[in-house]
Amino acid sequence: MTNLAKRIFYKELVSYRKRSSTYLSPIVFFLITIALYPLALSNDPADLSFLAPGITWICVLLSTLLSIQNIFNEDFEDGSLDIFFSLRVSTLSLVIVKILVNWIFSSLPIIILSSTVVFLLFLPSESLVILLTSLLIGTPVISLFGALAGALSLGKSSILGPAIVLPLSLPILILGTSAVSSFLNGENPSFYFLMMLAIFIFLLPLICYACIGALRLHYE
Amino acid sequence: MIYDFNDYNFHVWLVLLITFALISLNLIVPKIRLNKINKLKKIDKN
Amino acid sequence: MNKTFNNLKTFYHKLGSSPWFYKISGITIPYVALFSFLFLSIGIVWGVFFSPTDFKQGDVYRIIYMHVPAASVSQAIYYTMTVAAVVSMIWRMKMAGIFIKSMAPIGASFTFLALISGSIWGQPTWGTWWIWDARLTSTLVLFIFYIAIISLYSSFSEKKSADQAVSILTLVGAVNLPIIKKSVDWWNTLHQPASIKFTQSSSISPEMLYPLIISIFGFYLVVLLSGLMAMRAEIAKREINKEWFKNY
Repeated sequence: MTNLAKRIFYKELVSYRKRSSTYLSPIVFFLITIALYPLALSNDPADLSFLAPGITWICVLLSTLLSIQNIFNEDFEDGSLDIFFSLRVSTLSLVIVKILVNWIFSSLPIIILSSTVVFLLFLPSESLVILLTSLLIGTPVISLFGALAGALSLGKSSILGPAIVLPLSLPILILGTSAVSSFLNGENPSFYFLMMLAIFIFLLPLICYACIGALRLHYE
Repeated sequence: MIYDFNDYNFHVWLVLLITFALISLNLIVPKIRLNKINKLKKIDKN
Repeated sequence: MNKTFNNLKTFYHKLGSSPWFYKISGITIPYVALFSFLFLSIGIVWGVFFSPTDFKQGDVYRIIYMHVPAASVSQAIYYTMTVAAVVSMIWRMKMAGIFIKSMAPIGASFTFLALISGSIWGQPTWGTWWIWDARLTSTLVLFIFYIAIISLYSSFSEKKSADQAVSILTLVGAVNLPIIKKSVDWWNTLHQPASIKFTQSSSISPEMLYPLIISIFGFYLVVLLSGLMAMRAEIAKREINKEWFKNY
C-alpha cells in the first residue's frame, strides 16, 4: 500500500509539473483578488489592516476552490480512474495522495504568498505567524471538501462545486479569522487552532470514504 | 384583534399570504406531475 | 416480542416496495389531507384572529404562528432526510432515494418561509429586515444545503447514481451542520450585535401556546401530505414503464 501510494505520488508530481496552469492560475487569481479589495473598499491603511485577516481568508478560500474542483477530472477523462476502480487496489491511498498533492501545489504556494498581505493590506506584522498557522491548519479541510465536491460533480457543470464547498467551509472561515482577530485583541488563539485541527482529524476519514463512494458512482 | 388594517397587521397578512402560497405550491406541483403521467399512461393504454 | 420484531421487519420491507407504497399512500392521502387542513386552519385562525394581543409587540407577534412551525419543520425534514440517506447508502433502498428527492424541495420551501417570515417579523419589531445573528445565519446555511442537494440531484441523468450522490451529500451535510451551528455561535459571541436580542425570555401564555402547538402539528401534517404526494409523483415518473404501474 505504501509502495503504491509513493508511486501515485510521483506520478501526480510529474503531471502537475507539466500542467503549470493548474497551479499558476490560483496564484494569479489570489493576487488579483487581494488587489481588488483596496480598490473597491478604501486605501486607508487603518481600514485595511482591520479587514486584512478576513480578506486574506476569503481570497485563499476562493482561489483553492479554483483548483481543487478539477482534482479528479483529468484522471476521469483519460480513463485512469476507471482502471483504478477495476483493479481493486486501495482507492483510499489514491484519494489521499491526490488530495495531498493538490494541496501542495495549489494551497501551499498561496499560503506562502499570503505573507505579502503584511505589505499589501497592512496586516500588523506580529499577527502574520498566526494568520499563516491558521491557513496551514485550515486549508487541508477546504481541500477535503473540494475533493468531495469534485468527486460528486465529476464531468458536470463546475457551478456545483462552490455550492457544495462554500457552505461546508464556513466553520473553517470563522475559526481561521477568529484566531487572528482574537490574537489582535490580545487573547490566546490556540483554542481556534485546536478546534480546526479537531475538525480536520474528525473529517479526514469521513470525507475520504465519501469521496471513494462518490467516485465509484461513475463506474457502476 | 387583527381586523383593523394598521401598519403592523400588514406584516401578518403578508406572512399569511406567503405561507399559503408556499403550502399550496407544494401540494399543487406534485398533483400536476402525477396527473401528467397518468394522462400519458391512458394514452399508452389506448 | 419476537412477533412484533418480525412485524416491524415486514413493514420495513414493504416500505421498500414502490407498488405497495403507491397503493397505501393513495388510500391514506385523503385522510392526511383532511387532518392537515383541519389542524392548520384551526391553529392559524385561532392564532391569528382569536389569540390575545401581545402587550409588548402588539399584533405583529402573530407571525409566530407561521414562523415557528416553519422553522421547526425545516430542521425536522433535514433529520428525516439524513435517516433516509443512511438507509439508502447501506441497503440501497430505492424508496429512500425517492424520499430524499421528494423532500428536498419541500424542506427548501419551508426553510425559505422561515427566513422570510422571520425577516418580515424583524422589520417592525427590531427595525431591520436582516441581521447576522447566529440563528438566522445557520438557517440560511440550511437553505443553501437544500439548494445544493436539489441542484446536485438534477445534475445526474442516471437516477440510481443521483440517489447515491445525494445521499452522500446529505450525510456530509448532516455531520457538518452541528459544526457550522457551533462555530456560528462562537462567531456571534465575538461580534455581538449591539442592542438587539433575539432570544425570547418571557414565557408564553397558554392562550397563545395552544394555537401554536396546533399550528406546529398542522405544519407537520402538511409536510407529510406534500411529501406523500411528491413521492407518489416521483414513483410514477420512475416506474412509468413497469408492469404494475400500467395495470394500476
